[in-house]
Amino acid sequence: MATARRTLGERVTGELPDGIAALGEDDQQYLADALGAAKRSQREELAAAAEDSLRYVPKLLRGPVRKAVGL
Amino acid sequence: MTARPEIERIARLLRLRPDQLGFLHDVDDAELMAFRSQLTDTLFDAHAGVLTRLGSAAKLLPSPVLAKIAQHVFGPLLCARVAGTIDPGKASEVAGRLPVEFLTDVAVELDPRRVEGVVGNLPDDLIADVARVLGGRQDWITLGQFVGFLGESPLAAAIGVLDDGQLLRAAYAVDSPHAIPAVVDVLGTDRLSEMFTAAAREDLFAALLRLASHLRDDQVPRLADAIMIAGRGTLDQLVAAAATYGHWHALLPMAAALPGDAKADVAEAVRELAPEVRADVVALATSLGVLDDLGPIADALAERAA
Repeated sequence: MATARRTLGERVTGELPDGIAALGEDDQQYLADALGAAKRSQREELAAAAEDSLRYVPKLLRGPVRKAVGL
Repeated sequence: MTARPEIERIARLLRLRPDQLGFLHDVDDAELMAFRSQLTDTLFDAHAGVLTRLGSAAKLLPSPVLAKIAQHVFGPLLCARVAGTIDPGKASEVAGRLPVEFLTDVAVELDPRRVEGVVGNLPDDLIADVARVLGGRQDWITLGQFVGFLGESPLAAAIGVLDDGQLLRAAYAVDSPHAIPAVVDVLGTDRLSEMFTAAAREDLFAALLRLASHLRDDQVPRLADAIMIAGRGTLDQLVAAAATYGHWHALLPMAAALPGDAKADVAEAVRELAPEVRADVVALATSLGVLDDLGPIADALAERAA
């Protein structure tokens, strides 16, 4: 089932500045979708980086580091 | 000259090109800045838990290992996100172990508000190295957004490696206009004068007037001195730029501080302006409290404004 796309107002914290709130619906949705995509990319990149980092961590420290990162 | 630094900053955050945000052109800078701040907070806060845990893990590792991870795994964007969660002293140690090109890539992605402690711990020569690379890349946006977060000594180091044209372009992109007087404080009158010459040579009067419009009162006479050293030939161009960009509020206090014969030159240029523009300039000079100090310029304005 398709889910409704989140609006810009729902994606950012606080009230939108007047000039942004006055943009057309399509333009606001374009910004909302771009922000959503940027957040998704950031989440995926962070998860991958946290896992990959362990290759560089001395073996003795991998356990504590895994625990600290929550892996 | 880059038209809208704020749109470039928003595009960078959203991983878009500025031309994909053409619909933002009618939004004023203050609102774009407020929106950018919202976007920045949203992106940084979205994964605050993970970032904080990564910052905690960083405490367990020696700086050389962190530098390797930063460069080979995290890359510039994620380093910029994590940097604010790491102890500033340790983050500075790691920064000192990274290649300058990589560190510059990180600087491009940073939110200076979140790494003030880290930036404050970096040695001046490292700041200067990054500023040099940013200048070479013509990344005025990044240079401009760090200006308000540098102390006098690192600011002087950064300014020292930029040429006059680069400095003007960075000044045009400065994030916090209240930081501009600090820039002028570290510039000698000779350097200011060279910037006037560069503005004339490279058509950068819009940037120069933006810089001039945020001066403290006590800095205005220094700028007037710098104009005189640069040569009175720049005065016509300065008046033309003020007319084009509407920066009379920057020009008028400087003009009031010029010697009498230079005021006469400005008066000649002002006579060429349309009557309605003169009337507006008179009103502005009155509200700025400089009309009585303009001498022949005020007379020239009054000739057709009456």
